[in-house]
Amino acid sequence: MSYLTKQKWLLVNGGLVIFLVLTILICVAIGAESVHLTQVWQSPSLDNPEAVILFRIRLPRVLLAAVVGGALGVAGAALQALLYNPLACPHLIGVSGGASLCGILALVGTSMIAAHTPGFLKISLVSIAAFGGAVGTTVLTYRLALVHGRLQPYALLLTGVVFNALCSALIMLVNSLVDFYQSHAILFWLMGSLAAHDYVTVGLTSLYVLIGVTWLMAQGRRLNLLSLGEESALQLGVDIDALRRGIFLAASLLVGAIVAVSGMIGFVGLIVPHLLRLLFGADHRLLLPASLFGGAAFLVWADTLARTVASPSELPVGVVTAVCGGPFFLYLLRKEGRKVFTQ
Amino acid sequence: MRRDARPLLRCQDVSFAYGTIEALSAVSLELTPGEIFGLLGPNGSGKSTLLRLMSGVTKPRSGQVMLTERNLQTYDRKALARRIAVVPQESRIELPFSVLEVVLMGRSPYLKRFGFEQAHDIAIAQHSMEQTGVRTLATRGIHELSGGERQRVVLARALAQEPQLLLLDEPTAFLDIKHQVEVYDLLKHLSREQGLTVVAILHDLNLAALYCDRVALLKSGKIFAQGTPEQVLTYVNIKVVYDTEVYIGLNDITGKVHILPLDEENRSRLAQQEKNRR
Repeated sequence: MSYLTKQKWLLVNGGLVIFLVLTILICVAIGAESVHLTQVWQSPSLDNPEAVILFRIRLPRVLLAAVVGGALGVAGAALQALLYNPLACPHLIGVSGGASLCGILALVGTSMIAAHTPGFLKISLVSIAAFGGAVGTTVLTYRLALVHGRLQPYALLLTGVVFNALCSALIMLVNSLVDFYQSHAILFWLMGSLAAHDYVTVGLTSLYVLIGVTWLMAQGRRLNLLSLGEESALQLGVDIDALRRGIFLAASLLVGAIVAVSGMIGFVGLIVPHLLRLLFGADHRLLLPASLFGGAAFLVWADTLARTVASPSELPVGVVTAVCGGPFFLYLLRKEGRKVFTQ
Repeated sequence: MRRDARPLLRCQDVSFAYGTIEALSAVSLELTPGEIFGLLGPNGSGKSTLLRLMSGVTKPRSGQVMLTERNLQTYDRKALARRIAVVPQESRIELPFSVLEVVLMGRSPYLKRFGFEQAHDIAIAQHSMEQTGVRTLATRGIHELSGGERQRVVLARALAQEPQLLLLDEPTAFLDIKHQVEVYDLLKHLSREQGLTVVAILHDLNLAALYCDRVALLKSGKIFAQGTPEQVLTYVNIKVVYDTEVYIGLNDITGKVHILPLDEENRSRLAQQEKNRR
């Protein structure tokens, strides 16, 4: 089928939703301590240690992985269309850099103020600071990327790249000034982790992600028209300035919310949209929801691998996504490169 | 039939500037429904700017563009996209859409926000692909096509908009001679049979003479001459506007004027002849 029909839309998204639900059910059961879902089903009370592991530790983590992965997938797909660049990923627009820098300053700051700050408070303070940093960076890059009052993709791309480079230099600077333990904490935070979050964090992140993703998914057909070039999109009735502004702000909201809780998890936002585009075509009406469900399932599996493969110790999930995603992506490029890049 | 005599589009004293650089000054012209109108002129004479103003994408600095007696700027964007379609000089399509998907994008002004294309839209897209000779390419990726094929896909997309007015910016610049005449034959057919009004920017004066009902010759943002190709494409007009000598003859077969460039030696000989004749 060389165009998108309602049947294809329902089939693909339905299939991916089923895959995601199965993924979640399987992955909550897998771990250092194996959990039998049927036993927990029979006695779901918190006296049952298996139920405690499932509901207090596994489930929030798996749900957060799904939310973060989905948001990364959607943000990646939308930014690839906005920036006319197949290499665009959510961490390219500068927001990640700003969020990381502020998160790390909070990490160092809180541990300096009180070495015995309770763990959960430290985490949430870091998240709040990172989210603040994301908002600040969004405003700043937006201002810098305006050319004659209009948001220009190339200016946005360059501003983002330079801003990220600047932020990583500052992160290095902070890293070189702190002691060994703090330095280790910084490194670990930067590599990204989905551990140690409660339902409040998961809920709040989901809320932000829901707002950004819903708005972007409603723009599916306009994102298609955007790829015809500025002039043709305008002529076909798209208010291109408003659309670009909206995509940038929605993607920034997504990236800010997820970097704040999980650090910089790379590769998901780059490879998930590419893979799905190869499988199901470039139409954003399908690609955006598919990237949501596909990204979610991918990150849940990657995180499950990260916490089990070297059990009882844990690998950073960003390492797993890169190690799994990188070679696979290179293979796709070799095999199907002409379909990924139009030139 | 009186109604048909009313102009479809009217430019009234339209001016435009990029910053302080004036691109168009006080241009006025009227398009009769069903005609093929050529915009001619050297590089930088304001042809593309005029086309942008006619499409409603750019707002004139002064003067106004009227579509069926109503200011273009008062139309809602989608409503305008159902009346006017544009074929740019060159189209780069950045994502691997199929040919049919690209042509279907021409239907988007007719769709609801969350709507999918209906059988009716598919039929229209297939008909326009048929017309531009790309129907067999429907399932191919747009990025797998040659420049000429891609241009005909973009033309099919514009036709799928079912416009009253079709604006083309050098539509055949990258096409070979067979496909050039095929595109213009199609445009002529559409204008005669379906009353489509066509405005095309052309660099090839011979194609303009062959296919256009009327042409306007632009020089430095002003209309230098306007009328039938025979009236406008004269030795003197071309000399003044393009600052070069050409040979103008009459084509035995078509009965239209044809224009041939001359090399340096012959240019100076011709200039001398013309001087002596006066």
